Amino acid sequence: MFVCSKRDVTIVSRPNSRVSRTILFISIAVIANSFGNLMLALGMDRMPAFQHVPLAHYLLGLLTNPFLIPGAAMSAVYTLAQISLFSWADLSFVVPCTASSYALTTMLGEFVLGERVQWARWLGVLLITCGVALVAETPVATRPHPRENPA
Amino acid sequence: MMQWGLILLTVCCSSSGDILCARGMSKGGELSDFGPSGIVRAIRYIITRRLVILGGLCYATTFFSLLTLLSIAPLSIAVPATALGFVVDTIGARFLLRERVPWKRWAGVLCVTAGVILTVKTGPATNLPNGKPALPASRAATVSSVSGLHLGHAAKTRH
Repeated sequence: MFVCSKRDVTIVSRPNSRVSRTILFISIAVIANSFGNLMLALGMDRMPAFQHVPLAHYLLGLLTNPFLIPGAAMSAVYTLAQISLFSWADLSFVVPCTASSYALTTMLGEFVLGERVQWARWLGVLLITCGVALVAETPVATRPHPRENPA
Repeated sequence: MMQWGLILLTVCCSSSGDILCARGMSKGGELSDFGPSGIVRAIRYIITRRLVILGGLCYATTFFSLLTLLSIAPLSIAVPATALGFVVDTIGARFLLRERVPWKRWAGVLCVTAGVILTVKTGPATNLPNGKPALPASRAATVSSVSGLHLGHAAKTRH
């Protein structure tokens, strides 16, 4: 790792392996988050209202719902992928980039569930995409991160 | 008043969780081995970092705080307000984690925040093709992606 100066910003170099690993993990986080949420939405849509059934029946319903366990597992993958990213990438890089899941989720709503998505929401998707594109133009890390593998 | 207090609590806890997790993970080494045994070691490493555990507690507080917030505030106010967490995260990253934040990243964060507000705030619940009224999954999932929980039934009663 070496450090170079660019105007007043000290930028840590981006080795190809780190950049490709970052792209891979952000993709995993975004896809796992979006599909996990979609599965949770589908699963909860099949659940009775909480106040109308006994707690034990509700919990049994949660455990036997075919969408909820995979949905929760995908949410766990999202969390682990995002926390792993923090070990080499900036927080201010990771958080906006993983927000692409909002855009992907809106597209899933339109194309998978057949929801009618209003133009203003598409404008929101466009803004998110532009924002992520802007953030992606910046370095993955702007301060030194220890390189050695702790595991 | 309580609504704004809960929004503040949700945003602060969410951002504190992000900052603590980022701090905890960046103080150790860079995770790079993601083979079958490497993944197990990485998970063990993550769940034994004190700051990451503290961050997890903050996420848990965010979860319950947002749940309470949604019981007293409309979805179209609660979730867009919590999207301000992107900006707070970036400010925290700049001043607490000492990250250098170029102007393009600031512009990107503002675009993302505006986009998230638009995607959540606009549009009423739509009907599914089978005619069944439903909270659009895209909105429900947006809520859950902020909070880590699904609030479909709570939100359905509001739309």
